Amino acid sequence: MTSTQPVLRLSQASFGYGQAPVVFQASATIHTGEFVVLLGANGSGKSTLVKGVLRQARLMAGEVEVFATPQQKFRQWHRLGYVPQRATVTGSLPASAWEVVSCGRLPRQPWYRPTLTSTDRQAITEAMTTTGVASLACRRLASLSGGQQRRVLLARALAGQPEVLLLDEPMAGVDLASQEILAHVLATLHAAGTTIVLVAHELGPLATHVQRAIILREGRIDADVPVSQTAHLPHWECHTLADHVTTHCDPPAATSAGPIPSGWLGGQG
Amino acid sequence: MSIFSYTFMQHALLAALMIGACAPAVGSFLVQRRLSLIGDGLGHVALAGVAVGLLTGAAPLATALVAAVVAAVVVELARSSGRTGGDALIALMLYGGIAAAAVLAWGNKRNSAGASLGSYLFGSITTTTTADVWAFALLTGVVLTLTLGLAARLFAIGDDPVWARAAGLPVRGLGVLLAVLTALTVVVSMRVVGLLMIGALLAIPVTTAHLLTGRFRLAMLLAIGLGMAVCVGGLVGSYYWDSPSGATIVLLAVGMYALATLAASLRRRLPLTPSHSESQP
Repeated sequence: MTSTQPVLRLSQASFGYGQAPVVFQASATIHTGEFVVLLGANGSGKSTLVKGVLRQARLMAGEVEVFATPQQKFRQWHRLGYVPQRATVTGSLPASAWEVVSCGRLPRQPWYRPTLTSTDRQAITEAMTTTGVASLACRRLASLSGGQQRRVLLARALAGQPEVLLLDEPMAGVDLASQEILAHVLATLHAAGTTIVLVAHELGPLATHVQRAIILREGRIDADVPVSQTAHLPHWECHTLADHVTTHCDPPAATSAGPIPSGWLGGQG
Repeated sequence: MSIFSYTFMQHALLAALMIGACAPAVGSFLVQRRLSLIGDGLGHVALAGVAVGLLTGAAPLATALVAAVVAAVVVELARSSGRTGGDALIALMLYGGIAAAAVLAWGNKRNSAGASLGSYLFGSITTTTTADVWAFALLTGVVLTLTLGLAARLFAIGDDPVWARAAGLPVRGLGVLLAVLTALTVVVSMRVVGLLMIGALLAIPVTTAHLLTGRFRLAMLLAIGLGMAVCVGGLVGSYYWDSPSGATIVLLAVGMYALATLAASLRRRLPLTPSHSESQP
């Protein structure tokens, strides 16, 4: 795993919105093909870390490299697919699910072409079929349930055929059925070679698929561990991983000094 | 029809068709961003521009265009940097613009500039000259080509600016472009409906179309059609009823909105259309 190309590399990166940073000196490297979860309590900075990578939060110190290019010089943002926490829907404004998903093709289209090509249409249909929203294509986004909206947003990211998916709390506020569909879709994508980085405060149905957990506490990376290992600990439940760490002040990295690949631990902040 | 044998009516009709198409095309993206009143703000700044033109002897349309474009770009940059809310900026333009226009016109009272300003407040479509028609045609070409050509991109940055930026789309550049197109449309529309009612042409056909369809692109085309229909209809109506053209156009647009509300509520009650009956907010 460590021999593959790094997709994201953070070294001593601090991110924030105003004057004060929210994430302090985070260092981590994520390689092609990994399935990583950023875990932490509310306000731990896990969403800000992802937003920092995507330039939504300001890089205040340190370095971020995307596909081995410094973030400031990186231009191929279509290689990253971002799934925000919730859709910006307003009931009175029209926007069909198809129209929202088709936005995902824009980064790959030349600006002067006003219409979709057959390749675009095929990618949109495929993305909507993958996330199980193809039958909702003509519906107003605002008329869909929270879980369906989340799957439309995932389809928008997939339509751009990204190499990396970054998801912000894909499971929060979503019914169990949609959670299981999302987990299945992510596992399938991962098996097909997509690198997946997601923010969560609990693993839920993802527990069996996630390979590595980066745990944030109070804006710092607290632990960076393989999830399969923590799952074997007695009385350990993966979905309470973050709670456990924050309440017991006993990070799993410290308790399990066993076979953790050195590359995964290289980024202790 | 006999009224179209007059040259001034032919000019007015062409102007009405062009403004009827432009205003909703731009307005679709303004309504999406909840900025439908920005047209009024820019209209008031444009009025100050007109006053400058009348005072200095420059072409009022040109000075209005410069004032509106500069204001539009400044407002978009201030808005996208997140320091000032859109509504506060609109208030600044509304009152700053009208105050500047009043002071400039007052200083120029003897040259009767104050009286000329009136035709910009309420519009005077029947004074459209051949040169005006050509200028409108050029502006309409630019506005329609860019709004329709870049519709998907403009939709994406209005729908979810955070995602659009993450995806690498030029959010700020497209925002400035939309602001400039709005300024162009406002200056052209000023002649037709007057600056006091510009917002009506930008917003009412669009909100009417939004009642009728859940698809953005279809709503945009529908709004353009409705805009052209109310502009021509209002113009013809004003000829026969001898009423002010701008106000007649706006009243017709409001009437169409009321009809669409009725149609939409009737359709919700009919059990025949399951896909729409579920569209609760």
